[in-house]
Amino acid sequence: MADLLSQAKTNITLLTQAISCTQKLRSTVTNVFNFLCEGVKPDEDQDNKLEEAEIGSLSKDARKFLQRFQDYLQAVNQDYNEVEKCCNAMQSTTELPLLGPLGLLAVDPTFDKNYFYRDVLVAYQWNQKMHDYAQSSFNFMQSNETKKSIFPGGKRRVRAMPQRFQIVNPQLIHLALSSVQNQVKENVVLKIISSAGETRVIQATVAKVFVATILLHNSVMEKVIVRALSEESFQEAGSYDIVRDSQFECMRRITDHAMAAILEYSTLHQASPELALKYILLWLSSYKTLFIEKCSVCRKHLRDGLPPLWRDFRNPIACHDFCRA
Amino acid sequence: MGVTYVSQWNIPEGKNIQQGVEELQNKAEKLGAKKCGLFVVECESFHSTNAQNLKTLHTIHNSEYPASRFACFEDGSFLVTDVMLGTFLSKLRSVWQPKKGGKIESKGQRYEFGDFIIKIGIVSMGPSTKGIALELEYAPCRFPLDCWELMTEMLHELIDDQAPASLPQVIAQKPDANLAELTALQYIRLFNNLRKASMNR
Repeated sequence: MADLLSQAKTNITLLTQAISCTQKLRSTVTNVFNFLCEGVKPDEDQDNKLEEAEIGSLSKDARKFLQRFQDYLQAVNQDYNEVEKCCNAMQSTTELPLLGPLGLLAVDPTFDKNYFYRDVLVAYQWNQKMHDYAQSSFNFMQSNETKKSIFPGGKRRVRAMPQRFQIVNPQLIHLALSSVQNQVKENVVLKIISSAGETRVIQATVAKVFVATILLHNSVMEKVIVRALSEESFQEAGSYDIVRDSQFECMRRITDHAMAAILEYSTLHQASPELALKYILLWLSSYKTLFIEKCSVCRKHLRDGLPPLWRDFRNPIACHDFCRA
Repeated sequence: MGVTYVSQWNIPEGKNIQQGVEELQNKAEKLGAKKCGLFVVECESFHSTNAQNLKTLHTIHNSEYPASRFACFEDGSFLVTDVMLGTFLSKLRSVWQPKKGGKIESKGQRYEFGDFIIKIGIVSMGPSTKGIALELEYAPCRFPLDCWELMTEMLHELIDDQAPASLPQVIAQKPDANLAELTALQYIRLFNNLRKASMNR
């Protein structure tokens, strides 16, 4: 990504150079025409001069005129060479996936009026720099660790790294999804419902129990909604519903637990969101026995009219919400 | 539209139907169930005019499926139609004639508890009451075999000793059938039993 940016930068500087060169060329060409229009004397027009030059009998004025004309033409030639040099030095930018769909802003004709894309580029660069800085300072702090907790066994708090803009190739995400699907294929069926830019809606059907709708941004999970199999996931207009909660109490509670699980797994596996997605799906697949399994604590199916809805994040055994306390 | 269990609730000795219904409603409310409207399940039976083919046709109207009517033939075939079924059958009067005393209905209070729907209805044939029908539905699940244990636990809490020991025959025979069909079939069985009981009396 960084070399793409530097490439774009050099292209932009070359473009500005080329524009100024073109302006120069235009002025020198205008100079030539102005010079020709003025002429030297009414009887000394260009053609006459050329003929005279051929026969080698030129007047003093005519020689002077020719000299100046040649100078002007040379200037034009020089400027033209410069423009050409700039053009040749420029690299093709068609394969630049700059900041994903934001790159389209760069080709927007209204770009001249607003500076969104330029600002975005600057923000992106700042973000990258900040991340690098945080990384290096984190490494530095690790090597010079000081213990500040007053408790003897006090654990050091792990601070989250600042977020980094991610630009991931869509094919890579599809590959990651299919590999995850292979690992959980016994209980979970994954289906990509729609993708708009970098956001994808994924439907995970867990055994014969429920359908989980996962909203992915790149490969980072943003939201999950759990609905019963009998509930309609598509709206009347045909679009996929990513807002409405389930009408069933137990599914709404599982949605809450799943959101907590997303936070838990995403924080644990910040560096590799695909791993977090895999763990979430494995965790969701532990719900395949939702209506069959009894609570591991009270050995009953029901408590307050609800089956055992809680599954621990590390050891997913069935348990009622209130039995885990 | 979940898994449903329908059965008759036997009234304790020394109580009339009204008192029985109140007792059952109190039990449901004690569990934590909340009142949530009324319900009605109507059944009308027809018999064939063809002497060789003496089949019975039951049509069911369930307030849970307001836009549908269910038709069930005695040989096991089942049909889901729209609300025009009644008008259609009246046009076919030469083939299907309404049975005498064929109209029977279960009407009563609907309760919700968690994802369970409990319906306690008084079964009546015209002006005379026949008994009490209890319907328990577990809405989130669509597979009766999966959630049967869970439902039995709920039934034990609700009706103690009258809870069924095993899966009802209707469900056991076709566990993968349409859930609305299983409900309708259980109601037809219940209504038939009540009709027979009142004839034997």
